[in-house]
Amino acid sequence: MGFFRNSMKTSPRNLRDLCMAGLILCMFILVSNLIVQPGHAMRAGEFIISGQLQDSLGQPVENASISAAAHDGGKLLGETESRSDGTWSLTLDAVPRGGVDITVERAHFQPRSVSIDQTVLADLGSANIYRVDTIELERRIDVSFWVASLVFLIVLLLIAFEFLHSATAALAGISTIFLVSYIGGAYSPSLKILTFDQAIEYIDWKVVFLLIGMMIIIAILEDTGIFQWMAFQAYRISRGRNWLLVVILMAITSIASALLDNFTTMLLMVPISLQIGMALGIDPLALIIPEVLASNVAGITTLVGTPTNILIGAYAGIGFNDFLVNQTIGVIIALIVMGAYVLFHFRRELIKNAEGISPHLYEKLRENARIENVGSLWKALVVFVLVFVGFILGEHVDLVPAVSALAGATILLIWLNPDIHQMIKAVDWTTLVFFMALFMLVGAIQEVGLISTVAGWMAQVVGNNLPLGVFLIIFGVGTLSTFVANIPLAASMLPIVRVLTGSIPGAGNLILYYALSMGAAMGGNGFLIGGEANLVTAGITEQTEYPITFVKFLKVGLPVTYLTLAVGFIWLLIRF
Amino acid sequence: MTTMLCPTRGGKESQPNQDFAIQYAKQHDADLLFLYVSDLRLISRAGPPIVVDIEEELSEVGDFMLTMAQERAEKAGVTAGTAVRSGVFSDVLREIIRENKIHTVILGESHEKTGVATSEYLQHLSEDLGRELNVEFIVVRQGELVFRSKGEE
Repeated sequence: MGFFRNSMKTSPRNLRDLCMAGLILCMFILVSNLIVQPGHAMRAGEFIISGQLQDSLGQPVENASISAAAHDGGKLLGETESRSDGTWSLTLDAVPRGGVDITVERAHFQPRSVSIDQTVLADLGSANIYRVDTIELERRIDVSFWVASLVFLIVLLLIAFEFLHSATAALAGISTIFLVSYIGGAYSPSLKILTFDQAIEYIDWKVVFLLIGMMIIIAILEDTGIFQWMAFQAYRISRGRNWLLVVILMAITSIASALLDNFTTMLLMVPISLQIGMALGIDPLALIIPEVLASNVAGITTLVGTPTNILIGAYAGIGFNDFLVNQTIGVIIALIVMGAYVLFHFRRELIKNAEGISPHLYEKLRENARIENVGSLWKALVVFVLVFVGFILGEHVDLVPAVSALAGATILLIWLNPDIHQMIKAVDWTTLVFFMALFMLVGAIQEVGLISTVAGWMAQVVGNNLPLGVFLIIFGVGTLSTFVANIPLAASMLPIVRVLTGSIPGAGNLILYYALSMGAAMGGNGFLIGGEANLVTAGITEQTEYPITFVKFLKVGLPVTYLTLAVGFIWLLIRF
Repeated sequence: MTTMLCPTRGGKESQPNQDFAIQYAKQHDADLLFLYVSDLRLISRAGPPIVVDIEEELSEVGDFMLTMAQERAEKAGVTAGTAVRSGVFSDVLREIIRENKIHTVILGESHEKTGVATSEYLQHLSEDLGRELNVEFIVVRQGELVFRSKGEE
């Protein structure tokens, strides 16, 4: 603790710098959200040809080059590129005589040509717009497909088996893609996987800036000691009823995880829970394991509760309110089922009569769980609530969550005046770099068609059966998440889920995205290696006589995983 | 008055070993110093940068555990102090022995056979540090003597 204690008296210049930094960040986000729609006023005699491109799975194809050439003589009449929704339009100076040949070219797709006959154009009469039928482009599986797929698989393996840090692995992956694209591509066009400009477009800046804003807010809030204080109050309120203590601690952890991130939540909860467990004379793991299980699941009730929700929300346009409304009840039911299971699992520890502790030890426990800085706490809570109001109300005025989070972080920086260097250090740049590299890497496999190939297989298996689709996503992703890091898993599943959402009748309500959210989060409880919160909890408990071993965690974590996945599956079918 | 050192990681499973140390100190009319050492290297590898001051959080855990041990020692009539440190266990042990002119170190084997307190590690450590610092090392398991080395003797 100590951002406030060590904070220096800020000069007006420092304050101005802080304000400027915040304003610049906010303006950056605002500007980045302004979508400039190119307008075009039609002139007399002009002729417009428009259309739409899609792939074999019905997904729009963007950035394809479309050119129109005169049927007679092949004179180039105009060129354009398809937009993000696959639509395109070409403005020609006049209605071409003798027909037009439209050619569509896009890397990693077979080129297509469409001819517009002279008689069709003549029949348009005074109309000066012609709409071409939707053009379907076929994927071209070439060497770039195999290279990008192999690189992606290697990155996943490096992360899963911890040969490299996840950020290093993702950076190594995208660097390899770039090297192959630029050096290999100079010799063979089929090795052009992804250009740097294309890669940058795949980075979701709303995710990056939302994370930055929330990391600063969390760093300030956690420094106040509020969660340790709440845990101590749970110890007091439970008055030796250990089962009640477990329930209250799970509730506190759940709320904290929904508002903060799981990793920080467990860093705050484990040390005080160790002390409470020892004070009661029970195995502290009977308190700590339920806490970590709850933290992994409860985070998905809000947009900012887990990184995977932030990813899913930004990708699918699912807002803060949507997660709250559609997942909260399901998560509460899952937590109740989980609570019942862990109480049963730890029943021998929990029925023990609580041992008393000396007044001196009680005082020490109370002191260790004190609120560090009441003034800062109130200010942080006020801003925290305002940020969440921004999340909730912002959806009605197109205020993206990143702006609310950044504005809140900036207000806190100005109001509380913490050491700005400490605050910048508190931003998890490693995770941000990982996210950016991962976005680009997933972009690469999306470009070469791996995503659409996998999505095509899944669409064939699922057919029109929506419950089967939900089942496959929630249990498939849940099972994979027990041992694969859920962030890269969710990031690579998102385009697949988008395809399935478009192809399965009834999936337009985004149910499959919620299934992805639940699967990625709940699966993290299966094994000790399933989540960062699990690992940090194990790391802390290893410092005492109560280490969480792989098997100890597995015995309770794996049954809880499948119980909660089953609850999540049933809930989604009921809700949608 | 001599001082004996009892490194411990707290908890119920450590209590028989702590009791051994308390009785041994009482028999030799010695003071007792309980030591808790946290090794943050294991945690910092876990994931994101740690914004929480985990060293302070763990030192509070250690302090709490050692106070429990201290109270039990004082109930048995033995004067006991506590020390909480962070670092590599063997390095911290060496420092504490030198700083406090420790005469005897009582090491308890970890019940869970995890971390630093495995039987093999403790015996190696006892032999090495015992020779280097001319200090008596006693290794106990669940309150029973397992191994004893007396420095250069």
